[in-house]
Amino acid sequence: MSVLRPYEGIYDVDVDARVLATMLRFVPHMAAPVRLSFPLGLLLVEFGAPFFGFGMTRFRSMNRARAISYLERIGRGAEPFRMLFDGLRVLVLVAFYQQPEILAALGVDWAPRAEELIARRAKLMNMEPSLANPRNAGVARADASRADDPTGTSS
Amino acid sequence: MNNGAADILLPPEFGIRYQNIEDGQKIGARSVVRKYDADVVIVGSGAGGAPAARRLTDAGFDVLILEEGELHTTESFSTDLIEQSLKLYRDAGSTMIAGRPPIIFTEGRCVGGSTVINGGMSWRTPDRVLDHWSRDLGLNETDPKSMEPYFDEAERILNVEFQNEDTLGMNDKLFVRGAKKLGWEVQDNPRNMKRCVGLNNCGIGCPTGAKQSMLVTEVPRALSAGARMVTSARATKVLFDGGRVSGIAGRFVTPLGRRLGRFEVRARLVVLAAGARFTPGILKRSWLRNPNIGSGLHTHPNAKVIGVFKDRIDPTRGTHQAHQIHHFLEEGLLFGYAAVQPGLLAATTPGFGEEHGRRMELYHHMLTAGVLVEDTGEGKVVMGPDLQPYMRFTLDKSDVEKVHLGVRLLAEQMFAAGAYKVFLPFAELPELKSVDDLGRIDARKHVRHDIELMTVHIMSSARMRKTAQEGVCDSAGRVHDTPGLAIADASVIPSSIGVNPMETIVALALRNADRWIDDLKRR
Ligand SMILES: Cc1cc2nc3c(=O)[nH]c(=O)nc-3n(C[C@H](O)[C@H](O)[C@H](O)COP(=O)(O)OP(=O)(O)OC[C@H]3O[C@@H](n4cnc5c(N)ncnc54)[C@H](O)[C@@H]3O)c2cc1C
Ligand code: SF4
Repeated sequence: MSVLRPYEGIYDVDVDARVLATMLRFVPHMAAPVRLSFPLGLLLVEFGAPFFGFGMTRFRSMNRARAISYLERIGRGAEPFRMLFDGLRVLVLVAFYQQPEILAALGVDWAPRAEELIARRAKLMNMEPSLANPRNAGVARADASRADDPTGTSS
Repeated sequence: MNNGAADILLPPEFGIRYQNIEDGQKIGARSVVRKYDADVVIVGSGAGGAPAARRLTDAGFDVLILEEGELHTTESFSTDLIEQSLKLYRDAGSTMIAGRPPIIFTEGRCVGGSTVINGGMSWRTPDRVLDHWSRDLGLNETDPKSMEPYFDEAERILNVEFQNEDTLGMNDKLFVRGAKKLGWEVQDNPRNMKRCVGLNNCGIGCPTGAKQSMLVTEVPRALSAGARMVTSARATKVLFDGGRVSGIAGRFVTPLGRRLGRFEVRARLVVLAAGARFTPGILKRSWLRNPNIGSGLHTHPNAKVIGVFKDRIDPTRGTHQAHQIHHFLEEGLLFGYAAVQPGLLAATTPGFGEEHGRRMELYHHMLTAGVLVEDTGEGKVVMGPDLQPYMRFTLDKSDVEKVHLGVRLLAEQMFAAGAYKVFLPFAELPELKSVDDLGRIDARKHVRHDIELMTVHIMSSARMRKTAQEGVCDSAGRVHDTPGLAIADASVIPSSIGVNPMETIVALALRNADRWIDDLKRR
């Protein structure tokens, strides 16, 4: 993880434990072959340096620059290696960039807009369509013909 | 989200009642074998399964829908990407299509299927594609004129609308500006929504209820008309009685997919609508011998091109894709854009570490566009060691060329819109600094291994063809040589269609269901 996530500037926040916890929440949801081969993949990364021309060394003892080029090499490798690398990369990046501190650092906060727009739509759905939805006021609705429509959206 | 207070005015979708639903986790202890009877059993409640269920229920048949996922209603949706992915996506969104290059793939696993998490783009199958089906493949009544009433009806069901001006974000304006500068025609994007308000959360469930997914349309309609549904129920194997299909068997499952008790459904007609990955999986597990099952898979590979602008765009404002570009549809290329949350954007763009982090710092200045390729290569659905289906797809030469052409055109569009640099989906050519750099895309060796691809459209893995030698189902989605078994999902689509497939799937499901109703009435 420490190789895949950034640390400089706005990313200088200690969230590693939570990134790892988030990643671990995904693991039980993964398809069985991926889930079961995941620990094997991690072992391969740890001990695979000799196969990728990086000598008899373990991943964790490489410095960051060397570890980055080692991972890049794995990513350019044959299909199972590329998939392993891609899977790891995706997992770390999703978990990292969705941490609240990182979202805050990037200035992203979707939730308040959701509250505001739910209320706005509720109001619009109670208004005359030609005012609330001028572009589509004449659209034929599947539910308009049925008084008992369960979707409750006849309008 | 605090939406429950009685005195707050709420959108109508918040009040939908889901009748006749049984939760398989509550009834499915490991020792249980639960038996059901129905006229028709439908596996899956997504774009194909839900409209077929409503159609058959309205025609007077006793319909039972089996859905592997859980029921998550509009009230429960939030903007939390992680929570929503764990709830609504299969494999929590971590699926990969194996091949060169591997393709990130996502699909829904919940009541309403992938329609709950999709972008809502609702396009008819292009006429030239329908002509190909009817003229070249000889599939009856798939020509544009015959299909028209089904598209009309699909659009009524889905409530297809255009965006109101107040929902357009800055990213949309730039996307349109770039295209217009280059003289390309821009299309208003029809979407299945009812007064969308532009929250742009479609990909993890619409919390405002505006997106008219199957969850808020055909599922509740079918249930209120008398259909029944069992959730957390994974169908695994078609049952036979003599030469005829007599039902389907499966297991109740937990949200993580772990197995609980068994169930068996006896029915006159079994309809598989589990999507283009799982439907062929069920057919294979049922020992159907047709070698075409699972082959012919199309994936609409999608490559991202990101324009970076000096001014702040704020991608969190404005709807999910109000416009598309169909200017190059004949060349098999469709352009759109989407603003997604940082985690998803980070995952679907190449690179990692500090360099990647510096790019992500520009999040509010990015317009994320994408090229969807109408693929000519064909992949396969194959069974894994755990008896679950997996996909293989390798870009063929012409698709590699199309990706490069699409990326080049999109990069040009971004510069025309005013971008000062552009990020590309190529690990070995990640960035262009000016329009003069475009030639570097042509100059680069057109290889496939370093392209970052993703897709949300799979199709054609049990496709309709005239004979069992060429395909899996006939022109009405009935499985060849297997009476009592039919398919109503993306797997029946005869070829890659080059546009977003939901409306095609809905229209084909309605059309084919009409033919099954006639069959059932005749028997
Ligand atoms: C993120 C995303 C964005 C998209 N955007 C668009 C868009 O804007 N426009 C568009 O046209 N298309 C879009 N699509 C694609 C479109 O949603 C799908 O093509 C369409 O929903 C597929 O329909 P389907 O019936 O084949 O499968 P689905 O809609 O996926 O439904 C299949 C259902 O079957 C269930 N199931 C699977 N296996 C079993 C089993 N063994 N037993 C019981 N149930 C089972 C699943 O849980 C699921 O609910 C998008 C898809 C995604 C994922
Ligand atoms: S843009 Fe927002 S309101 Fe509109 S359909 Fe998507 S999530 Fe719903």
